[in-house]
Amino acid sequence: MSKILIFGAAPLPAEQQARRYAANLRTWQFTKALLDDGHEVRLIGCRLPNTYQDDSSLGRAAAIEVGDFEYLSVSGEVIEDTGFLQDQVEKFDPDALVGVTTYVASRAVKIETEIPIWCDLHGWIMAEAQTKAHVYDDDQYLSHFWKMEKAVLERADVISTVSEPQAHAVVGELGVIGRLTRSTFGYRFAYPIPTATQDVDYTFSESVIRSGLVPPEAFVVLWVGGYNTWTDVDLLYGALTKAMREVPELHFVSTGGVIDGHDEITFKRFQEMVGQDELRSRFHFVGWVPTRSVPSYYKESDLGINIDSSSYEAVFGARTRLNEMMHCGLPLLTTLGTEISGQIADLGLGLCSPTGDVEALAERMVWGARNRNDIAMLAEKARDFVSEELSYSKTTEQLRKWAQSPWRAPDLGERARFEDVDSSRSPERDAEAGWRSLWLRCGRLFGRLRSG
Amino acid sequence: MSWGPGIRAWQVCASLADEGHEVSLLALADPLHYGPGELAAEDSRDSVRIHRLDPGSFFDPRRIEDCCRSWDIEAVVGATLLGSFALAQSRPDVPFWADQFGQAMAEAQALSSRQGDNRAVAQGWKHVHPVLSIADRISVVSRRQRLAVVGELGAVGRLTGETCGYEFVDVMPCAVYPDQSQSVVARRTSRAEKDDFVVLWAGSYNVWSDVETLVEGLEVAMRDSPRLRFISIGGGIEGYHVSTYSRLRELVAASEFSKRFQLEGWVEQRRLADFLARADLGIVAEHSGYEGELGSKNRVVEWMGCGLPVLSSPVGDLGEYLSAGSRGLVFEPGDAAELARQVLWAIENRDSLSRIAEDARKSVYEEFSLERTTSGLRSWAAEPTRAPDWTEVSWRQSPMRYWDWRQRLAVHSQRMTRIRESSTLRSIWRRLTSER
Repeated sequence: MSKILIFGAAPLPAEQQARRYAANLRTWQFTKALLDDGHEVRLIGCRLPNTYQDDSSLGRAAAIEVGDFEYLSVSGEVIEDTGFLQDQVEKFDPDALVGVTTYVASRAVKIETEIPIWCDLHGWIMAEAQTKAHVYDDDQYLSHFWKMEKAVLERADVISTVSEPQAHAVVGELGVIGRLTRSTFGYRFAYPIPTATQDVDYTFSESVIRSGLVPPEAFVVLWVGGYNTWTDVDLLYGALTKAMREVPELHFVSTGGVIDGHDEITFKRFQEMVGQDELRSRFHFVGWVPTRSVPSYYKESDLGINIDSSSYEAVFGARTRLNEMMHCGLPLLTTLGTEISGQIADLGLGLCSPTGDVEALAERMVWGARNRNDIAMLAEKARDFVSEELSYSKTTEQLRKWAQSPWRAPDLGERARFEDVDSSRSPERDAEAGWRSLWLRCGRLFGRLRSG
Repeated sequence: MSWGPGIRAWQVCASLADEGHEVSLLALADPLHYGPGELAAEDSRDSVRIHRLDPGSFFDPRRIEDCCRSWDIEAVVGATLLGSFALAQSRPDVPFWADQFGQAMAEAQALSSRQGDNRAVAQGWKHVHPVLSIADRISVVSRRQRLAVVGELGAVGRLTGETCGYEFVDVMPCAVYPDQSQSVVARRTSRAEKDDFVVLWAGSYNVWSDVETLVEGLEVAMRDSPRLRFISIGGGIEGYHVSTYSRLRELVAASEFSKRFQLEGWVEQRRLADFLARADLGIVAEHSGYEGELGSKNRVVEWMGCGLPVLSSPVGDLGEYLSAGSRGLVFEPGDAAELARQVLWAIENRDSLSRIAEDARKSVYEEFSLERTTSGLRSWAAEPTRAPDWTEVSWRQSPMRYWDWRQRLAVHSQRMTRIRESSTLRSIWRRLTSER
């Protein structure tokens, strides 16, 4: 068994705090899988913004008990403190590090250590950056996101992704930064780890929709979570209003909304469109709700919905809300494009519609409203699928194999230096490069001697 | 025999000529294949004007610029990475389609592993980077490679707000040419149980070729089946990679069954059909690696089109196509025992093998026709367009470099259409934002 130090996101799902993001579920997916295998696991969870009603009592760092598991919950500024992270590694003396989600992993790789590091690139951040740049009409986000991604690509020994397409994109990136070299030929850097929600509590706790929010006979279409930069709200609005005209009992309930600090445009635009429509009374925006209430929304709805725009983000990304809907047995309707939506379509686990097609999406909603028994049967099949195929142990198979005896990538993070190897260079440039390389080596050696 | 880049170039040209476009091909002529007087020559085939150029002229940007100007070219297409690189160097001022026939950085990795240093990786990047930076559209050989190339585009800063929703990459798989394969199909005769069973390798021994597994697996099978023979046509690629073929020759010479290994070397194109008609099973053995996973194999598509049963690996799009639909036999890279088992099964089950090959032949004509594989290129060529982030090359600023106000200003300004389309305004703007 190995000693493994995980850097991830707090709070853990069982804490039932104010909000729960995909990063929190992801952290527990990795942690639980390794705990179940009997490893000695220590988790440092970075508290995500808005996930607590009030986290001031937790201070910079606090030990939190979740069942019989204790982890260290730290504030955002602590995870930026490389000295603190370094200290934690030296105290625990792990056999391996695991960084879960791109941001946290990009911090974990700053630790100076020779032990193996597994980094989880939770969604392809460069495609997310592109949609953000598009929505905000500003490309400045690209370099910010690339810095995080690049840090991970340069150091990680193994990388997990949320989908197989993302694993291929990572191979493309690794080529660009010079890690596809002779020493890594035949070595597999990237493995997909699909989203899993196995151990999360989705118990119905209270009536939230059927106690007066909508009429008793309503067919409720549910949106859960943030309206992200890749959410096609024009499509959502167009299809909903079209379907509402055909199905008088159709109501739309939305939890979530603006993602503070990330996307403050998309949801507001949707609200504005709805606000000007004569059908606005059938749209119910309940905002961000406490984590413990979310299962009740699933339970009291008839159709969960997921809408993406046509972009590279959808090609590479995951959709945790779809996993949750399947887990809870809520029939679902999604646009195609993501890997999980492809599985839903291929295996007949829910209703699917092409991106950008208002007519088709509205038609599926209407069909769902008129064929409630049929969509319930699809939901049953979907529930079986997630419990059989998307268990923690099955999705994390490669991570668990690695954790048994963690390995470094064959190149030990050494990259091909494109600038120094140039077949057309002159002897003068050769000599210059030789001197530069010598100085760099001397500098590194001196640095090591100084740091003892 | 033809080899990959030439086949790819013709796939591009034939599809465009099919659509009625006026097509001129600037072809990089390999000095090893042409005599001194033949290197720079002009020719014409199926309405495509072919201009053979020696390497010096092919990679001379001014030469390409001159051609574009004097022929009044409306769009340029680079077939394979070298063609795309030559065009990128010339900074075309018309829409530019760049083909990356196989994942160049993964191929460079495979080559570097054979050469023992990373020069090939650096060289690969020298070719890939300019192409990725300015291509308006990119074609690749597999669905998996498309995803990897999008990864590259993200890393070089082409996935910007402006290009959001724009599809940069088109999948153009290897194509089958019925007119060439039909002649082989007609000559393939049914073989009796007592006949020799011929396993054929046809094509280059490239950096990905796993000759150790090939020979080991065949030797195991030869022990069990006295009728098994191996014929190889093709060899090393002079000037690129020859050591794998040399290694094959060493292994064969040392084999107890050396007489049953027949290494013919490169043969003339007209003799290729004879070998394909006489073989019972076409084989590919490759190392496990990203090159195979993201790439494809012209020869496998060609063999399927000829009705020749295929034994290859199940990796990549083509491997998935073979194994998922029972269109061929497969073994995992490096698994010599499984290779031997599959060969022995093929020897014992010739009828079933023929049925598999026939199904594959029908399927490949449908899935890999010239028309279908090049549909993306054809639509683009009907009305060639720029990528949404197009700007004159010297004006291009990577959005990844966003460290000071000058760079921020430059990145913003390149999105202003009026500025980026005017050389005078560009020049003024450049002076304003220049660091010196």
